[in-house]
Amino acid sequence: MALSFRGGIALEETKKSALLAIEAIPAPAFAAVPFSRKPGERAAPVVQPEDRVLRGQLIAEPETENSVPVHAPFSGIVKEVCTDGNVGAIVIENDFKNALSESVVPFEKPISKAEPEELCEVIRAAGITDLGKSGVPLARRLQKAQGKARRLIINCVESEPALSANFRLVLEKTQEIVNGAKILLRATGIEKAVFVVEKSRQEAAEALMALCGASPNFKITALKSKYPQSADRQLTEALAGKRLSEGQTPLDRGFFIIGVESVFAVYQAFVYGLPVTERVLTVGGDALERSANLRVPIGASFEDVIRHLGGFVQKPQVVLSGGTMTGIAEESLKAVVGKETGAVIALLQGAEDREDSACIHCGRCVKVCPERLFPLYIARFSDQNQWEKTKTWDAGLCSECGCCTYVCPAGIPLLKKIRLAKENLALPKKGV
Amino acid sequence: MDSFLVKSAPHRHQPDSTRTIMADVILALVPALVWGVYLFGWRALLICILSVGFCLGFEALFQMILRRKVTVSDGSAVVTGLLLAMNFSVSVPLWMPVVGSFAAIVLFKQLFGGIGKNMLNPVLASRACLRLAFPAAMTSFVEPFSQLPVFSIGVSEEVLAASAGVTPQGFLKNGQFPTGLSLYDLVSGSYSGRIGEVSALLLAAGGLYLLFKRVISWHIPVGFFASLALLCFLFPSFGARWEYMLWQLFSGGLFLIVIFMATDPCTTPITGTGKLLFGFGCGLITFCLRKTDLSVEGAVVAVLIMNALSPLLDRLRFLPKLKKDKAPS
Repeated sequence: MALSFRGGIALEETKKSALLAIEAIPAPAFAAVPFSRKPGERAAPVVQPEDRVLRGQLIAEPETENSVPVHAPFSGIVKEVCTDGNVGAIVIENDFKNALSESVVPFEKPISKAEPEELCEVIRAAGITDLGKSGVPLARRLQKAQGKARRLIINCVESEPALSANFRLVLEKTQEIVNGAKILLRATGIEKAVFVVEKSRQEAAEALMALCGASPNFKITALKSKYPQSADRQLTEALAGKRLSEGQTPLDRGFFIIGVESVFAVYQAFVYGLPVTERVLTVGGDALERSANLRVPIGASFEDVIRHLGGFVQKPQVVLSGGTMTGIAEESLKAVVGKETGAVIALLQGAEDREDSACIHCGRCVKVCPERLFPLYIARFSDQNQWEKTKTWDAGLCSECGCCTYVCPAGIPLLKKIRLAKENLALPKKGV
Repeated sequence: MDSFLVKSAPHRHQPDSTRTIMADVILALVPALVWGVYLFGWRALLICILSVGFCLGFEALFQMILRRKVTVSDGSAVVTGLLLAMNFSVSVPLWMPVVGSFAAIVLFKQLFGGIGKNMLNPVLASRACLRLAFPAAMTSFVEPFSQLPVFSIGVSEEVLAASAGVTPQGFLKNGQFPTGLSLYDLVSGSYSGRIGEVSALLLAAGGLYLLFKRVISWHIPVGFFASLALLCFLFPSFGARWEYMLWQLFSGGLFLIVIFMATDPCTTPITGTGKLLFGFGCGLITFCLRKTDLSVEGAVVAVLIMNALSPLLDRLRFLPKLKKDKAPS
């Protein structure tokens, strides 16, 4: 029995994108590079329209510790700087010269002689986040983990079923990832790293084993392929054999979890001096002729991505930024690939909110909930606008993985109702 | 401009629906039902048709009168109808399924708010009501292969007297092992009883199918059977321990009640622990009631009592928290 957590769902892969090597898409004519405008994570643009920028050049710099710098994915002319809403964008027109900025220089010192602070500074400047998951800057997390972490956990598990970008990255860039891990060990002062792979993706484990199986500092652990195994809390539960209680973080078990993509980005930042300006994502869905694992510049539109795959077979009903379980349905193909976009999925038919029967109390949602909540009760109280009761039933602990909604035989949009409850709980109380 | 549907995640769904679950239950009931019709004749089939028909009819009618969405297509009324018919003796008057359907669907299901909101299992609650209202009709049984007239509304006294049978549980109540019957007959299912309860073997097969399809879980049947078996083994009223225990387990329609009605998801706890406790409670109450001289159907009442307790069993984990919330601050 492979290690795992309690709850969750085992999903079959529909298309075997795992067999497809990563291919780069041709540079698009335009890129709308997103940057955060959320209060507290705000970044400020440092370029004006009509400025010429070079590949890897800083175009927006962080205003707070929780935001990351943003860089140009290719050389060209800035056309527009948009700062409306929660996500701003800097539109750059490609001049197809691919001229590199002079700020892109490899880290000169040998890693073993560098101070952890210096290493963290390079990671900060490269704009590395928790790629594919959240926008939290890696440097910030490293800072917080100082002295608390005892194990570096390199998460090679896909964040969702049917994705394979992480797997392909491990397979094709094994050496780079191991080297990136070594840099991170130095930067965090941790001695041991654990690569976590999926049991069903044996080749990844073998490739890592061949490179660092003999080293006492590296360990490779295979986990059962189950969703949401990649989530930090579930990963910790599987590795530690004990689940985190309310409010605990992986750091309380001494784990510092980092996605394999971020490790690769760290490698690139040190060896080539390249900041994060592109990422690998799985593109698929039944509305597309073929699936693929693509290397896409940050800021490329979904249209560029889809065009590379030969367009749609038929007009899809939903286009997702992310996987089928947690992906955000986009309104148009103008949506852009950001640092957190893990996949682009186009489906002819999205799951509908059938709600064809009332809850029959079957308990399947409770069985699959990785946080061991009672989604049916939270949803019921949410329907009745009894927000305080949803709190009693721990609505706030929901990680929004969507397993409950996936299994509900009555077709009730449980997650939607739980989200509503969470939103209402976060609102300031009336009359206060 | 191309615009796509914007909706909340997740964007995929497993294929099961309430309807497929109900279809599985119906499929699991069919073998025992066919056996019942074979044993008790076409009149048994007629009772089935009547109760399924009236269950569907009452549900549709009630929902139409209240201007609610008509949900007969989810199949739950069919399951209720079939189970209700299986809980009747073949000798009941033909208006009994009609009254039973009304009680089950209108009184115990729709008045509580419809599917999923009922507190008690509609079939068992209806059976308990009829048992109180029409004790004679609900407790007269006939021998297998009695050839009762199919279409006559009531069965005449003479015919009943000629083919009257006593259920094994009837014998046990009188403090003796059934005469003219062996445990083997009980397993193979050839004795007088209600239409659907006689074949333990076929009911168990249906139960295994439901377990395999994950429509029911093992907790309640195991808890129920284990606690009842243990208590009967420890405190037999008469005879040998093993024999007493086996007679108790295989009689009184226990298989039908445990597998198909005590596992009804709407009226039982959700968590494994809650379900086990539910099963233990059912076994304990059944045992206590069977030990008394009261002529009540132990397992039926046991399940109904535990039904009423099941919301509490679900909240066990949350009790400390719920208490804290209630406390004045």
